[in-house]
Amino acid sequence: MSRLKPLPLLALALLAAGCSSPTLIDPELLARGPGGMVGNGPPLNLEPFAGGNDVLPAARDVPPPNDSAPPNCDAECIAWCDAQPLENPVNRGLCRSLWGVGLEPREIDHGQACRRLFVDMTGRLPTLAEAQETCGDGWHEAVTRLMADEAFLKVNRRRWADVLGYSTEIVNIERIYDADRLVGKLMEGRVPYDLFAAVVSAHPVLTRRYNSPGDRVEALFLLFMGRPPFENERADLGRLYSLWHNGYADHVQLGVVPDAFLHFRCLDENNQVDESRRGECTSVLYGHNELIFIPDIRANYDPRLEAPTLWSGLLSADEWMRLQLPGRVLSQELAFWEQAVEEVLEQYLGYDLARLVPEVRDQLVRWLIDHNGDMRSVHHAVLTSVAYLQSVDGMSSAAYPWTRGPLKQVDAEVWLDSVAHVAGVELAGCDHRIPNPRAFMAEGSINAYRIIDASEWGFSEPDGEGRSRGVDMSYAELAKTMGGCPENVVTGRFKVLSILTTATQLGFINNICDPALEGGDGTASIDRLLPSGVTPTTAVTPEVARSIAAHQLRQFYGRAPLIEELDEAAEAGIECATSTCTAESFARPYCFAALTSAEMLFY
Amino acid sequence: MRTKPRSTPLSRRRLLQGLGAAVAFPHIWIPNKAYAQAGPGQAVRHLIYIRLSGGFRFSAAFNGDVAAQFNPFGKASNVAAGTEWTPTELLGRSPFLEGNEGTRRTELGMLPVPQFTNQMCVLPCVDHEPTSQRADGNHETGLERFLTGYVGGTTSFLTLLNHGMRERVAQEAAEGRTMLPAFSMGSAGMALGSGVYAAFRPPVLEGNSFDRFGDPASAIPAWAQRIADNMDQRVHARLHGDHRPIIEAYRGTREATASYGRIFNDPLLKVGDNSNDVVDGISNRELSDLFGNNGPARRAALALRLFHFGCPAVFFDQGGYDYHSGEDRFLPTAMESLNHLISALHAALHRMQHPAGGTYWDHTLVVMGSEFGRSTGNQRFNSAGGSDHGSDNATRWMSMPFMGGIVERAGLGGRSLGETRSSDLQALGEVYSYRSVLKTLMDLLGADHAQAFPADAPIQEFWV
Repeated sequence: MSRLKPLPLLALALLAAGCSSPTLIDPELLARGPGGMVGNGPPLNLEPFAGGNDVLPAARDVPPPNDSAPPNCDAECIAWCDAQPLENPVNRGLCRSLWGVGLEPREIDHGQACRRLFVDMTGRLPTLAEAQETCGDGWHEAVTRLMADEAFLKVNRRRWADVLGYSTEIVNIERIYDADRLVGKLMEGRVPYDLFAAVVSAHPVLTRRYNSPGDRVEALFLLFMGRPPFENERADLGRLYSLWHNGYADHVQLGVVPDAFLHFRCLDENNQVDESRRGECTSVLYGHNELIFIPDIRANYDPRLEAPTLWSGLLSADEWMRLQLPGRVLSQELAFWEQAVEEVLEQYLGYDLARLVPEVRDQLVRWLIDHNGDMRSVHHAVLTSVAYLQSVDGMSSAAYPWTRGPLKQVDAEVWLDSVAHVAGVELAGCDHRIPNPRAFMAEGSINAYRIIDASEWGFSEPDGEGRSRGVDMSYAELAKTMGGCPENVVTGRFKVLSILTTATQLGFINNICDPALEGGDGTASIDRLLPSGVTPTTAVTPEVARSIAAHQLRQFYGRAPLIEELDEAAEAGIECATSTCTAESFARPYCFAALTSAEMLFY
Repeated sequence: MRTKPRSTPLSRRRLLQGLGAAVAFPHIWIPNKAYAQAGPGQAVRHLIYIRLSGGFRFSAAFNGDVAAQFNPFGKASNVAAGTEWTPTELLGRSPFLEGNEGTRRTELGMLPVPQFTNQMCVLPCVDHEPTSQRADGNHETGLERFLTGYVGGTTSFLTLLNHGMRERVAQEAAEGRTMLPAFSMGSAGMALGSGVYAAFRPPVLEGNSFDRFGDPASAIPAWAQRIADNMDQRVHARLHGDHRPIIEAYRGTREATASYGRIFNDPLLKVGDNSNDVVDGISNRELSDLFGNNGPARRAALALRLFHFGCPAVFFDQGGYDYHSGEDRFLPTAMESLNHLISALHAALHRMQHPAGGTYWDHTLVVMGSEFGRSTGNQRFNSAGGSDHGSDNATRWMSMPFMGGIVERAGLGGRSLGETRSSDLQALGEVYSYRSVLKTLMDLLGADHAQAFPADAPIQEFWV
């Protein structure tokens, strides 16, 4: 084999970085990778999505099914459903298993549905004022407005960070920022889902996470097909993944970073295609797809592999596109699109409606493709559907899960951010792009500090002697106990009800509300817990107790208080007033009672 | 670069022209032989399981009788008589025994590690997958194997352990005692589990104390407690029946928090308070003196206190050994921290009196592992003075040390259960699957392991 005389990688990295400063990095311009090469035009759909304000029909007057089997929509039922003026694809698909067979969904509770929308789309529980402002003019308008909000992008970026398992211990942070940017483009409707999948299929955040071609194929299948590959699929597509090599790049600004490299394969001693080995680099299960790269001056000799490799940071747009073959071939499968809509249904409903009512899935797949692969269309459709908006209260007409609304547990970050918001308490944060900031800082240089500083992480206040305490992990430690802020090296996000998580939540709320009036850091200002016109020293009467309860319930639960809640508060006020009871000594325990309620955890 | 595009342009639209037929491949499931509980019942009551984080160069610490490319640091001197395995020079580094602090630690029983290597045994060749052709040198999958036994494993070792202890926990509860479960300190990866295992996930403790846990609800006025109860009651009552169980589960955890809160608030668990109160033969101040104050040290001290409340196992990470560069300079210093931890555990366990009789040493097993070993491509260090991880034997073998009373009772003190060839680290003796190691730990703790790692057997050498 002819030995290469490559340019030093450092110099090439400088070139690739656009000859930027050799020492300092701009955290705002950190994203580098194939995600920057797509989705740089206008959104795929400029017109508003239809189906957001369907007028829901009454159930057809037939005996409803008895829960023991899937509903059977006969020809008359099909004709009836086809005649309904439903535009929303979920509603259309659901008709044959709902109204058409005589089933009624639960009614839509406006406040409850709005709260659900707000949490799912912004990542925080709303106050009553926010809920009223958000949902005052129809579901389509609310969803459209929230979808354009930066918070919606952040929620979905975080969701994909969990799915893709970002970790700076596994891959160069520039690639993570690039993937995050790509997700943003997907959720802004500027990248169609099949292109997104193609880019992800050859993105270092995916390839660098796995060590063998077969494992990469498996990850791809689980991600975009919702199942592991069969052996023949694994072996065949593995040929397109065999040229990835997990190495370390000596990054001019970040030091040694884990990154993806190309390991040239199927070549002879002269670096020409070896005809006898060509098949090792060719997938034939989805058409004839060959993937052979030939080293040039960009390649670098890797002494451990005893072969030339090419740092992925030096690949051109055309080369990236060729590497994206695995994602492109999978997107030709119907199951790929079905998985795409199933994920959205699961995200918002918390159960697998696509499997239970395949017509919903079919309708959504057609809807998605009709909208040029714009995933926003599916999010909009699900979020404005009866399956999502209907109430979780009361008994439904049948046991089918689509005859009642979805109830979900909030993510750890949602809970923490919501409590902090209503209590007016500033918390540190965690940044999904840098799941383990301490490890990143330990590996890095001054640039690592700059990146952390510009991220959602913060630094602790210096101690009494002026020494830095490093990255503030207080928020992350709380969130991790409750399943949030995952580090992603092995485990991801989880939701669990356990003694330890509940004890953590109670302890946190105890600190925020301070029911024993002990004072201390991180305690909510009493002003946040009292309505206007009531001072901390105001003597508690039944009426004052009512007004405090009403104020807090509006803030915490995003709804008006119930009569029994006000009556209960009045009684508690009388009980409190048997000894010296000020507004503060009533408001703080009430705050504890309200914020530790199940209503703050489930929505 | 020359490219060879041969693929056909693909069309999204074409999908709508027809639906593909799914093909299901029949397969036959051949059950593996399940190894029944055959061990010593409950030979140990407590386990401290430590991950040497980032991939550890085992041959430079616990398997030193090998060529310089595997152990460039040499062998330890003044090794305890009867030690068959070879501690390295790195294990002998003991600056923590110097100065005033060192004098105090020596008074409390701390020794340089080589002086008690005859109370430890080492399994030089523990392999994630003995039937595989090569090592798994990937951080993620290696760690998945370490935490769950498998690539993509969905149930962590501690979850399996808690599941295996369920009958004992129920029995204790029936007799009015609250028995703490196994804890993972800091690593959520050790707390995976779904389905039947979901309820047995170990608590993941972030930080080194229970300071933020407790039972604050018990301190609020009765009227506020009543309002809190009524709020949950109303939520439960108004919900659709299908949604009520999750509210009931939440209310259940609130009630249980009261009993656990009493434990979490016990002053004994405030290991940083430097209390002089002696419990189980040692005070928190003495624990602080022994262990020092870094994260793993505090976790180890807290683990010993959790054991007082029946906790069967604690897992935590120590160090960060992914030295792709500078290992020649940094590993010796890093090893001093590990040696300190091992020595402090050895001393504390010997000093502490167990409520069931004997010392904690008699009832506790300390085990160390990592996601893989490290290799250098047949050099002492790689070109950056570090080490890497690939597919060779150096990556493959985790030379895992075991320490505790059971080691001596089983006649394994100082022994090496296996052997490697000096020149190339080829296994010359027994190779143990990592899952066998995990199953052994469950077995020794008396946990039901009938459903764990059915193809792997506990290591019988530990049976007494």
